[in-house]
Amino acid sequence: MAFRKLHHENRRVPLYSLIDLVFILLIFFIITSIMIRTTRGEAKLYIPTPKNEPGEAQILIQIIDDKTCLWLDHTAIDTLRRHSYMIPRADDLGAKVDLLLRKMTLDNAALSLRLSRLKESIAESVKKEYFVLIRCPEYLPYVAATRIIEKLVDNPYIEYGCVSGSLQDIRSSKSILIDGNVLQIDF
Amino acid sequence: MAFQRKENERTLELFSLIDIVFLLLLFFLVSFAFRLAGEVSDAKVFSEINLPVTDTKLPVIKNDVLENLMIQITPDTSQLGISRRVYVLWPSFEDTTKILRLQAFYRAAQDSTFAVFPPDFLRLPDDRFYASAPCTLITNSIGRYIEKEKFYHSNTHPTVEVRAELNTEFKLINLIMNICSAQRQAIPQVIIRTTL
Repeated sequence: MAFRKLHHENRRVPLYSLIDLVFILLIFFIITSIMIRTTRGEAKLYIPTPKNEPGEAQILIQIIDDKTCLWLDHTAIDTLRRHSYMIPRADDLGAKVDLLLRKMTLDNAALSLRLSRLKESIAESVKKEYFVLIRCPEYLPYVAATRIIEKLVDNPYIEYGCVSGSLQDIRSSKSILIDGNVLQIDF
Repeated sequence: MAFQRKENERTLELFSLIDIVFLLLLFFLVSFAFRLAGEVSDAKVFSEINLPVTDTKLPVIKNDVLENLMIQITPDTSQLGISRRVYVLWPSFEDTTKILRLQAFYRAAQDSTFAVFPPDFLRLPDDRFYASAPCTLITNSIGRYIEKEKFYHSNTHPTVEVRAELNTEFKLINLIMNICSAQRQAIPQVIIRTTL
């Protein structure tokens, strides 16, 4: 049987066209990879709009600066009662605020711990609802408030609100009174 | 003189054909992509801001289609001293059309739906602060947004989103919340955008 020789010279790949094609593909992939940039994901943090009426909160967190805050809950009443000898007059708001500042100021780490404990206590005990009011001074970055709120969002028994206000507002409030088990701050 | 036909030279050059096809494809793809992304890329450059970092337990935004009215606050250095620039980004009210956040930002920049706070806005008395151009812009926009939402989607509560630079003063966030609070029946909550 006779075999015919193949003509190899006709089957050569055109080199210039191949290089051309490869470069075009290369440019195409470079451009697409530049255009499809991975963007950072974003999330939504819900904050209820404040009510224009006097409210009641189980916990008040007054942000003092970006590192510290004043935590006022039912223990503030005990603190004021126990150290009443440090308050010369009942209407001396400055002395009351100074006492609360000395006893109930938390740094960021302590605040995180306190919030974790709050959530644990809610999970263990009766499902009592809490309202946490966060007061943030106007000149501070809003991130000071959002970093507290983000720790509260995942608990259905904790409601929260956020308003503007400084420690100076508490100092210059009309009154800070203990009425039974309630600490009343009349701004 | 006799001419001889060269039949064998009429074969199709496959590589050249692919070459041209790819060139055309590339041209149309890139020009189309640039037309779409041109405005978005401009917007992306100017709207890139540092947001507060939070963890992943918050609802994550999958595709950045603008669903609510968005107030975007960016740093502004056009005046003496650092100030804040407020953009109002409008969503699409028709269910059939959607608008991306970056497209909305581009439109806001084009339509001049933005305003700049004076550098000393923190020290301004309340009456001058609330009468400033950004406050008026935010108030009017939220009012108009509620009216439009009532008209187009009467069953849903309108929501306002805030996308603000990390260092934005709480006063501005509080301003937006207070304006929404005045419309509390309509806007029970605001959304703060964070990054993961």
